[in-house]
Amino acid sequence: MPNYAIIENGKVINTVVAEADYATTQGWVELTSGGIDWDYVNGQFVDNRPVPEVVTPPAPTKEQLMAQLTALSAQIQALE
Amino acid sequence: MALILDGTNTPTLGGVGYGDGTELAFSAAGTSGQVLTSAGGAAPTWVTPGGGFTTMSVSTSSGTFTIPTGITTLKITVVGGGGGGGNANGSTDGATGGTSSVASGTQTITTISATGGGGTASSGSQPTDGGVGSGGQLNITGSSGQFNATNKGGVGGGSIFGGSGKYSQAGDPGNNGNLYGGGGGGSVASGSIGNGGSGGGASIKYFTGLTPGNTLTVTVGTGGAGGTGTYAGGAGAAGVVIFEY
Repeated sequence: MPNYAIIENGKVINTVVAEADYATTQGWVELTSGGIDWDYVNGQFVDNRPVPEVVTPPAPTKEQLMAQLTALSAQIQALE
Repeated sequence: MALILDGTNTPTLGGVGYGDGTELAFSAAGTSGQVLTSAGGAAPTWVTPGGGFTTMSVSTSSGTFTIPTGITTLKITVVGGGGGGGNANGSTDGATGGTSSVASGTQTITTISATGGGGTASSGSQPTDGGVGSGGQLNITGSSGQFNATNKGGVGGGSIFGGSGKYSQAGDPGNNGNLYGGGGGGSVASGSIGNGGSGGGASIKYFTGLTPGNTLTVTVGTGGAGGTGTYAGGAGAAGVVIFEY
């Protein structure tokens, strides 16, 4: 069954499953790509969403690295 | 009061006898399955017993729902669509699942709805939140999609009904979420992992005092598409609306 976009002010506010006849009565547009928060411009779905924040873990400190080395050394000695 | 049996109060076949304050009277027979209900000082009547729900109507497509004949109480459950899984290459994110809802038609009600799970971003970003329910007596948040740091795609989040898309192996696309409302799994490529999409929210409520024949407006949210590209994320599963009566 096709998916449809509900569009307000040029932006997709919801995407729904519907029969074609019902979707037509509601003025919904068949969803060919994208989804909620995409723009609908000149009959095309366009992704203008803000780029999500990339989470970069902080670099370990010298003390943290030394602690890891100590722990690894202890594990190796336990195996010998 | 004397019990008068003078031939004018012939027992009804299948009826019951009762006192009318003057003499012994007999009720009509009623119909099979009915039970006798007191009317206080008036004649008792046969009525069809109420009780638990016996019917479930499952809507997987948007439209209208007509309140069935004789029904004045409905239990309604709505589940939003699952979010799409992320593409491991990072070029595109999964799409958010659609919102499912039941709102007024010719019958006026307070809207009950559940948003879709978040379409997740690719490697290096936080997985998104699950969808949320609102307007119900019980509102449920879908599970968040996951990030997998062991060279497998992130597992999608689940809804109350739909299981998540499982992790994928290196070089494979993400797996789709399961009906209803499960989030899609993320894909994985060499050195890059897509997060799983989140599960759709849910909401449950009893509605009383409804009028048979009136309509309600039903919206069923889609599953969010997975992030596209060489290593596409899995798609979320569509939501659902369930009527019990």
